[in-house]
Amino acid sequence: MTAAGGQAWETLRHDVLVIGAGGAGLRAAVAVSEVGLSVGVVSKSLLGKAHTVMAEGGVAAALGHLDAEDSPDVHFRDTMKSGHFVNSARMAELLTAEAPERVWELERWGAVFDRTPAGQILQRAFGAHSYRRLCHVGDHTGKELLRTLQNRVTQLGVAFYPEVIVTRLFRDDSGMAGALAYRRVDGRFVLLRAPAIVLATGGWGRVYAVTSNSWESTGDGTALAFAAGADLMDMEMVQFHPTGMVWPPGVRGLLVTEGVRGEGGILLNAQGRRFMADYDPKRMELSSRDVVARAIYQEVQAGRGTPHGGARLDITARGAAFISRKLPSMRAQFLALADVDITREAMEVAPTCHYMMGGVRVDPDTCATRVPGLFAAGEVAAGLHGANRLGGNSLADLLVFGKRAGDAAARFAAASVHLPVVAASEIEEEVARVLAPLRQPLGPSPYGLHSALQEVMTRCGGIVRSGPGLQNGLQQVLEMQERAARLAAPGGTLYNPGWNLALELDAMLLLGEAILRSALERTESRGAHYRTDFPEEDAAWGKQNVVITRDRGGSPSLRTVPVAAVTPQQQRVLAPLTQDVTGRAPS
Amino acid sequence: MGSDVLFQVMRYDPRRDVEPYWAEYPVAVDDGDTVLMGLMRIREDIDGSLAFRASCRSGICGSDGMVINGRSRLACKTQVAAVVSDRGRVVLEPLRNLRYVKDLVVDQTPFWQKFRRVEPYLMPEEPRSAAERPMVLPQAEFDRLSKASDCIFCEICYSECPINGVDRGFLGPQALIKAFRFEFDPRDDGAAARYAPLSNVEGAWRCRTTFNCTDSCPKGIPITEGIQRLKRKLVGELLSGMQPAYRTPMPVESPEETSS
Ligand SMILES: Cc1cc2nc3c(=O)[nH]c(=O)nc-3n(C[C@H](O)[C@H](O)[C@H](O)COP(=O)(O)OP(=O)(O)OC[C@H]3O[C@@H](n4cnc5c(N)ncnc54)[C@H](O)[C@@H]3O)c2cc1C
Repeated sequence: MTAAGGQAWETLRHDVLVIGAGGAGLRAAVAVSEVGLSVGVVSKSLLGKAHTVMAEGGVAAALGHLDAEDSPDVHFRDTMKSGHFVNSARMAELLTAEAPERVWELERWGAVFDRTPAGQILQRAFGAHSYRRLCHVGDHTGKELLRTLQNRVTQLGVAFYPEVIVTRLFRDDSGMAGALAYRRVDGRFVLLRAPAIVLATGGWGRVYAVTSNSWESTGDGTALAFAAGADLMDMEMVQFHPTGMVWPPGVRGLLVTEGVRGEGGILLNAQGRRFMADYDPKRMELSSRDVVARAIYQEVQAGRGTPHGGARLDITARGAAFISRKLPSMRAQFLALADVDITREAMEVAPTCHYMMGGVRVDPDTCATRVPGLFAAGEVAAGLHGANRLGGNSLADLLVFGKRAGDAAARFAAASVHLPVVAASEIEEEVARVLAPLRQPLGPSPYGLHSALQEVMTRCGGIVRSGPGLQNGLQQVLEMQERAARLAAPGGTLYNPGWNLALELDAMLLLGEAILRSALERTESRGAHYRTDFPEEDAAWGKQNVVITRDRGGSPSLRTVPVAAVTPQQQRVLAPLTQDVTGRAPS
Repeated sequence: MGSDVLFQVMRYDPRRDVEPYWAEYPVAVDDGDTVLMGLMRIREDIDGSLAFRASCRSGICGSDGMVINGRSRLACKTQVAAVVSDRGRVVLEPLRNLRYVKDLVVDQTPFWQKFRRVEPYLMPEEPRSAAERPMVLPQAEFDRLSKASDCIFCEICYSECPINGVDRGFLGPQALIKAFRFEFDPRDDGAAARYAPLSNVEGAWRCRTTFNCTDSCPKGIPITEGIQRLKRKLVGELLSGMQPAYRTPMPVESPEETSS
């Protein structure tokens, strides 16, 4: 125990520190542990509760169990096309090549995926995948994936620290030095010393008012990385899932899995027209997410929406037995939360903020950030998905790049000879910053400021954007950042959610700003990023990523960098797409 | 639409309060609102420091177990309208059989220690090489395991189990159903390793089949049945001479010493 300004902290030491216990974090921890190094995993929640547990539809891996024509190459093509070619071809190549082995490995660790009649892993169709490719467990794939990794880290004896929240990363001359965190259950501070750190903190859907994300998704890790000197990339690329629940208000935003459309559900407007025929007659409901989301948005804008502002999603034609078997959680979710029996009635759905394609910029092979010793994997990292993520590619991402980040961090830690040091003054400064909201007698409420941010982001940085709207949103977010310095969270340090939110808001306000600035910069429409003042894709922008660097004063500074070049081999794989290089759906 | 419902919440911050007390909050409730939604409104509009766990708000993460009008349930899956009728209000207390941390939050350390004690992971008969393709698993085998692995670690069974209430050492329904999940996996060969923690006066034998766990499980897992099948398997191992009778209880650390 060491003391700072009357506050004590405890010190823990590991070779590698993993921040986040979702799929990416746990997979990284397995990799580190398997090579015999000491790894500590921290998480804001308890084991097995991370956002990954909510994933439903499946994990994409070209096993070819149902469609023998499928292959990693086809999966690669689909991924690049869906990303509108601003994604990293190298990451897409690694993902598609390694996903099958990562899935099989889960079965060796105890997972049970749904089976074909022959007893092999069953695969389902999913939007914009050329073949039936998603390995799944009913509609609770994320849960089975997380459980399997949870059991595996338990078996390996990985040190796990639940409800421990990191607020700052420390560097020293040769790499990372550690992280400062506090324990939610007693408010005590912990210094986690490690020469290598893997960030696996997930997304930040909670900057928007309507989101499918869990309440943990506040983007802390992205802000931590930025403060430590890492670059952010593609921040304007925010995926809105076309089908979120609409009613009642308490469940607004909760996901209706794409699996419903994969299994044959159709979309109807208030007039009963199957409107996808007007937007993508070839792929219909299984078109890519951005196309379906904007189609529903446009139907509602045109006055053809349902009473609560959505569309109808109807799967009743498939029959009760089929629905109960293939989509049991969906059926239960609608019965319990909305009193709707989806085997007899259509669901009411509307777009919901679902996934962040952007995030921390990393090296494709090692997930290393610009900061030596700092790695990032999973939703927190950018590059793989480009302008639009394919369904099922995120779970595959967690496994493939979680392992790669863990391997690379382990190599870094094993090679590092220094004992990381953190100056006591740095810790004291951070402790004082973290405790400030508790000591503020009067000031804005974190809850009020959070909903104000969500409202502005939804209105100005949402599914349909424009220059003036983005500019206006940015002004408001900058003002909020000033107000945030005076946030007051009464109560003590013991399990105080208002205080927790006040600290999370720092991250959300920074990321809100980053989204709006990047969206202003990209003067075109591409994938998930749609601007009414630049409604077309612009070939020149198709070769650029927007990158944000922290300048000397600590403020975000934007620049564009060329999209990583495609190798001749990758070019050959992509050749069948050359007639349609824009990646847009044929119309 | 918009009617006020009284939420009566047990509050306790051991650093500030002498003892637990009831706080009452009138909450505006919409049709279809869950108890969790009501708690969110209290936190946002009245007292931002009110402590409860919650994350996915859709019954998947299992964080928001609490005692609602006398029974342990998930706040996100409990409609206000469905519980308010019996007492005219919503009465909220922390889960039972675990130490209080604050308000509706309990210390889960013993629960997780017990989970770890049953060695909850697949111990394959022979280590599979990385190159080996996955096994073929028939649908029927799959269905049986799938239900047991539906568990969301919500602790509701642990809170409702009368044996957990009187015997701190009892592994509890959750750890036992996890053991069942692996003991009955055709790929598993961990029976010898799990015999000691399971065949024990604090293990499977302690279950008195009150069915509280099965009745309260938000995932509908037939936990009691699973535990009885475990017992039968353990008897088989005992009679076949594979294992010795087990009498000495395993030592149990108190949560104070081990909370981390
Ligand atoms: C409803 C839903 C369905 C989905 N379905 C699919 C699907 O079918 N297929 C698919 O591929 N993808 C799907 N996705 C997307 C996918 O689930 C996520 O992108 C993915 O799970 C993210 O995993 P992760 O490991 O990166 O992070 P997460 O699972 O979000 O985990 C983040 C971890 O970081 C921790 N953390 C964060 N900040 C801190 C901090 N400051 N200190 C300490 N710890 C911290 C958190 O506590 C948590 O443990 C779905 C998403 C949703 C919401």
